[in-house]
Amino acid sequence: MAAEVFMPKMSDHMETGEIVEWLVQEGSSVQKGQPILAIMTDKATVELEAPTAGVLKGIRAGVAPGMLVPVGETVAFIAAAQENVPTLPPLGGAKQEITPPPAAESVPVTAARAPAQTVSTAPGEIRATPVVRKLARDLGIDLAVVAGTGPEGRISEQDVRNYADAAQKPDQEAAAPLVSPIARRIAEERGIDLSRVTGTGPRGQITKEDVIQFVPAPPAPTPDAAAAPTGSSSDVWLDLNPIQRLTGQRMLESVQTAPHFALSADVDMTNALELRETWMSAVTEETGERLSVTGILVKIVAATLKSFPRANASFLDGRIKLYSEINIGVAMGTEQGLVVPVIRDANNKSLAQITRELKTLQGKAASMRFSPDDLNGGTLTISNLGMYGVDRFSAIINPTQSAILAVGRIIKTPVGMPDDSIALRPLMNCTLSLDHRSMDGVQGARFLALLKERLTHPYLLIN
Amino acid sequence: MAEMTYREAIRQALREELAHDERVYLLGEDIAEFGGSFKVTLELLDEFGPRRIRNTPISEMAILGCAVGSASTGLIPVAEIMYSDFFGMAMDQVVNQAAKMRYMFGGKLEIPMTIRAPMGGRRSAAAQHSQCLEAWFMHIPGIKIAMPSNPSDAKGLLKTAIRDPNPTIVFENKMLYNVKGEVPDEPYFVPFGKANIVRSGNDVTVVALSDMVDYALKAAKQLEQEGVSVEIIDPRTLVPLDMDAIVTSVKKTGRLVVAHEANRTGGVGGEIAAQAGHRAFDYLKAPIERVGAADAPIPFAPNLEREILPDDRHVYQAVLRVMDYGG
Repeated sequence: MAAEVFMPKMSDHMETGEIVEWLVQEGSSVQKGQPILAIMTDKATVELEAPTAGVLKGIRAGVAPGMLVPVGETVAFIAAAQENVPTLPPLGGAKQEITPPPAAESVPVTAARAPAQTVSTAPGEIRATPVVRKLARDLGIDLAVVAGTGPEGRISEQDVRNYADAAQKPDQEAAAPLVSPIARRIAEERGIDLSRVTGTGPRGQITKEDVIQFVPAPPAPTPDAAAAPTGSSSDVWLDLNPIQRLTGQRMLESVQTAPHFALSADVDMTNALELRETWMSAVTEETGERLSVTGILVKIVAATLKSFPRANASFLDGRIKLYSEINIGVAMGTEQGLVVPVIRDANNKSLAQITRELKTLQGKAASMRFSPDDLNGGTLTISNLGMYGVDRFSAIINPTQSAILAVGRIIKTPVGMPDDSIALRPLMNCTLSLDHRSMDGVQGARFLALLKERLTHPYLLIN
Repeated sequence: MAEMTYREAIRQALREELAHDERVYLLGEDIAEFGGSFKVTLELLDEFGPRRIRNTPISEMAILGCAVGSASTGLIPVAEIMYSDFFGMAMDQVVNQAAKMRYMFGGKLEIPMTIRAPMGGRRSAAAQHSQCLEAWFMHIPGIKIAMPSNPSDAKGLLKTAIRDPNPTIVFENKMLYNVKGEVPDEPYFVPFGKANIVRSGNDVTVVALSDMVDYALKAAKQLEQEGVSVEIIDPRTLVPLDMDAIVTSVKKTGRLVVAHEANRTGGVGGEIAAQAGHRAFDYLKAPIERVGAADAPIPFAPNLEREILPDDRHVYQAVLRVMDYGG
């Protein structure tokens, strides 16, 4: 009996995975557990392992590098040598325009048994041999903007030469698709942008049928050539790596589906900073790392969520799901994009434990090597841009969470005191973005007030 | 040109040098009446007599100690180490005496000794009679090393070694003794430090030592049918090593596979790869591949030995790996 190879669900929010490459050719024998397919999620590149021993057969048409495949879709089979496997209909039309299943519940049950994964190389890393690097140097090309077509996205000499050739031509000519005259006329009549139409004719030529059958795709998260303002020939195009692309998609999805509103408060951090100083030596001694404001925030936000479970929730299918675990995501910016690793069960962890975990996660962020467990299951996210000198900002909620806390820098500010004197106090702005489907303004305000009270008087935590 | 075996070519070199210079003499275990374990010196006793074709006790230390001593006092010894595995018994004579003496005497002393050492496996001779130990000696400055891969080179390199005023080791491949090849009729020498471009190609450079040259040729024929053009370089001598020829080739092909029968770890292939990687870095289209034996003692069982030792299949696969790398 043939076993299906399908796109596994590797995180709560994963809806599609991008095919990086087949590691095994169709018709090859594989061992159980042998990596057969490299896929890229929004979080990492993982190698999908053979669910059983046999021969890789029936790779579905369209399952090629660069293609986004919805979670649960069968992409191939592992079967006995003589066994026949069904030919599945081709997946999708244009690259990366496969519609994901509408909701997580429609995903086949099989997807729950995600196979063991090995996190391999970080996406976005430039893979090129010395000869290619020298060629790029000689041609003055930054390899970061060249798309690699080789194994594991490796940039070949040809890729660099193609890029150089394309860069020499005017943009329009380089982007101009092959179009039959009649297709062009129909497109003009109907106001269809030919750059969005996938050609099915020879050499990718756009035929009359392609234009007639073209259904405008929903707005893409990245601006395309047609939508961009006209610029000079010295303008530079940057390709997004998968993390950046999927972060963008997720953020767009968040602002389009979750009605955001923001509540903001300045918090007097005098006592929190004193707490930090008091704990500093003990934490440093235990972990070798300094206790950060972020570490204290994780601790206090987790404690506040414990007493305000409504904010530790997701709005899902018309209902609100309250999570029993408090898992605090901490947004980290890296060269390759934004990641939000998670400190699990944060309300039950000491400042030293949180400090140590933050350090570990920052180390992993630097190389973009995370295990899925590091990134999954967050219930509320903290984004701290204080270290960049940001006073205040509002953040986009990380779906499907209900809230994100945006934290600015701590700055000494004149404050009117109860006795009408003016004192300089270290204030820190907390701006909470909320999903109005989960919490209304009053609920959000109560949560923020509770948080502010604990940040102002951290000794309230001792109870 | 005459066709003869690798064994006959070596014997011819010995005969010519014995005749050329009366200071030349041979010593080793059972090399006289018995002709040596591999019959290389057979008949030479009849021609040159027992003073110049000398059996020794079963002591490699005595053989090489005698060679060093007699070389430093005016003779030209050609010693046979029956199996190169037995070098272990006499390493001090090679490493601390032969290799160092000229240096220690400020260049005033010459050590014109040659050591012939049958090497390699594929004969089901088990772990203590099958090794390729050239890397040991390449690591010691002061010793020249040749690894002939065919009858013509075997003769020409051995003659050059015997004429060289420095200690020299010629590793003879046991599996090649019966292999025939063209050998020039007129007297000739093959210089040390001059690689042989065995086969020209454009896609991959394969540097092969000793009998891996023939395996590389076999792989190259197969690869040619698949559209891969392989250049094969036989360095012939490891010290001195003709890196210029290898680097020139790698700059042309951008891909390098180094193949030897010795195990990979700590092997000569690593040294060649490092030098090529350094000098041709900007030309590399793929990581340099090393083909060698697995890091294990050579098994007695022929089927297991075949598993461990590299042959044309391994070269073929390594070439495909560098071709498929995608640079």
